[in-house]
Amino acid sequence: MSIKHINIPILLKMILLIGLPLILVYGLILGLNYMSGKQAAVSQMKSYLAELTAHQAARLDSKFLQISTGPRDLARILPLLPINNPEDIYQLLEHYLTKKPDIYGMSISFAPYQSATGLELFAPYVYREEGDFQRLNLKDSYDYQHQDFYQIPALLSRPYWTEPYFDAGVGNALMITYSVPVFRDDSLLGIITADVRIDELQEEMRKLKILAGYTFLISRHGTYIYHPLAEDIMRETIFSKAERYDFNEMRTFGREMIAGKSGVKPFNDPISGGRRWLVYSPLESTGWSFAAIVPEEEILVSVNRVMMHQALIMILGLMVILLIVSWVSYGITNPIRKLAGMSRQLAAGNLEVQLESIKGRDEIQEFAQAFNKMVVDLKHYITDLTSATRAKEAVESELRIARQIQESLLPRVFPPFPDRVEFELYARIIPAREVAGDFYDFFFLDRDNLALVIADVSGKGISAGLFMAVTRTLIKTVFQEGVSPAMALTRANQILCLENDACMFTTLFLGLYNVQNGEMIYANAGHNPPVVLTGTGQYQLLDKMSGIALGIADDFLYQETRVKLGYSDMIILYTDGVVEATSPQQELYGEDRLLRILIQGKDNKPRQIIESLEAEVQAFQQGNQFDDITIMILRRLNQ
Amino acid sequence: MEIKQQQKKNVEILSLVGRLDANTAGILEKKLIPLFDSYSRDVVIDFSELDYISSAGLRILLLAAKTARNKEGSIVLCSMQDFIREIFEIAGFMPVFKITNTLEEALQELEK
Repeated sequence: MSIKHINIPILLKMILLIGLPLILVYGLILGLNYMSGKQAAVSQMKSYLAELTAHQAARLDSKFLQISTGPRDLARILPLLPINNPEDIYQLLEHYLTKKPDIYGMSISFAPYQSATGLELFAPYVYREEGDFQRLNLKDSYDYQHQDFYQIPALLSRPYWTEPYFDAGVGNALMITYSVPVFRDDSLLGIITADVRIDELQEEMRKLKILAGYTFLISRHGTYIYHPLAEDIMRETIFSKAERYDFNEMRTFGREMIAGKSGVKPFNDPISGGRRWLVYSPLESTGWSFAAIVPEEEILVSVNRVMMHQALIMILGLMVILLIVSWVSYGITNPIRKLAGMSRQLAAGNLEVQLESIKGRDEIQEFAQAFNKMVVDLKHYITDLTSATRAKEAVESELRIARQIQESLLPRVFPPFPDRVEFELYARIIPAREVAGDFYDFFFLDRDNLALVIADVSGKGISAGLFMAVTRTLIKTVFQEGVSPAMALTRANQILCLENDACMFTTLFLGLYNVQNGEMIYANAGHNPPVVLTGTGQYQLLDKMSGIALGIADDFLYQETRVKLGYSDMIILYTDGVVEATSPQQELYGEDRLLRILIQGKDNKPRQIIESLEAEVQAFQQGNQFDDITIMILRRLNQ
Repeated sequence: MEIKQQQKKNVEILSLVGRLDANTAGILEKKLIPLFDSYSRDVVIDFSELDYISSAGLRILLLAAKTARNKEGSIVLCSMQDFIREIFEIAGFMPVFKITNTLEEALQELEK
């Protein structure tokens, strides 16, 4: 089967025609949606992350703010307090520590000679140890006046958070110190410090997750206060790390971070090679920066999830549409399939098929109605045709009977007179219709005189056949011994003219041939002239003294003529069906062709001549026989 | 067969085209015979384009001639080709009909 013969079902066509464009449009919408949706989702994600980070930073910062209120309170009231013994100061510090459980230890590092104790250097320090407070004077441990926690706030005249440091002395932990300078009458009274352990903060940060990323905390100088890599804490700064990985972008980010800014920066991570987002936010009080690093795919996962939902809804919608298309086209094609099946049944001859089950008011239903009507009409038509055919067959069988009767009227046994050696005779009639209008006849009037008759009744078929039967009987009746051919024709004509309203007529050649001497007396009522052909091929047309056809002019007197046949001479009688046989090119067979065939076959038997003539005439008219064809040949023999 | 029909000065002219045989004789009969329903009709039949005539066709012409005679009408045949004329001659019909060589002669014949 070649490609063009493959049937594409309507269902598939509709799905292709409706579904494909829909898929394209849907795809386009999805694509555009994805692009704009992604941008929106990404910027949404940015602000979400920024907020989240700021929130975490603020939460961390609040702890420091809350801690800082203790030392600042103390700084405000300290100049007003009439304290002059060390015990009171220690108790004051213990009081504050009790109020602020997040503070590990507090001190008041007095400026030289500023404590009411009268001591030059006095720096009382209270710290926690195993649920209790321990006291010590920092003066005994080191030269506190030259420490950062003392010097920097004194110089800046404002509170100050130190860089984190590892306190190997009392705390044995990573700490930061909040230092608040205390002034009295514009001169430095001392520095109040509060030490805070940041290992708890680190612990808290370890648990803190921003999406699937990790968080870190850097100090004002960029030192890692917290980082998931423990070895980086306090040992690396964001800058040293950027240096190590030759990561300039991170250096830029670091500068922004220690400047107290916040931001969201996507970047390519040279360490992992992946795409990452850096989100950072400052801790106001300490000047630190809290940051998170999140893999971009983590962010896009949530963006993509939204997109996936949209796509899923669209695909569902598309499937619903395709289902509807399928359903509709099934509704269309199913009746068509039924119709096709019915048509096949109908074609196979089942006229009882009717389409019952097609619902709806549409073209298909209209078609089904038309189909049903067609089946009914067809049934009627076939019934009519059947009865018409039956009637025709009846007529035809009657025609066949008529022909049989007619044939039985004509002498059909050849040779007709086997005991007569003076001549040989053969005749043949080929009707154009079942019943012929032509006839031939021959009969002896007496021992030596043979009547030869050939005739052509006007028209063909039943009417011609009836007229022929009448004429033949009439001729046989009037042509008796002692009657000449001309007299016989004149008499027969008078009778045929009576009551001949239909103007039927017969051309008829009547000859009386004497078998002994070969002489023939003949009369012609408008018939084609017979041919006399000698044994040497000489021919003669017997066209003299032709009269009018029988049945037209009732007072016509026919004339007669004589012709004599020599031994081996032939007389050929024929009807116009021979010479007027017509080829498909509308050419007439004509006398010339007839004569040629006769001369060619002159040495053959009459039967052979007639058969070859018939074959040639049939070949000439190629199956289109318009008229009856009759030929009769008599040859005189030399006994 | 085709029959062309025209009128000239009350003369009905039928021109026969093609073959006038048993199959087509009925067509001519239906057209020709009713022309003589009214008295004294003059009819010319032009044979110039006729290719063939069979005995069935001749019968219709005889019928027409007879009908014309009964109704005091006239029928003239004209412009016969030789082989048609030959058929008329063989059947002995020449005396039965008025036959002229041309249509003009036929019309003149009817004016007599």
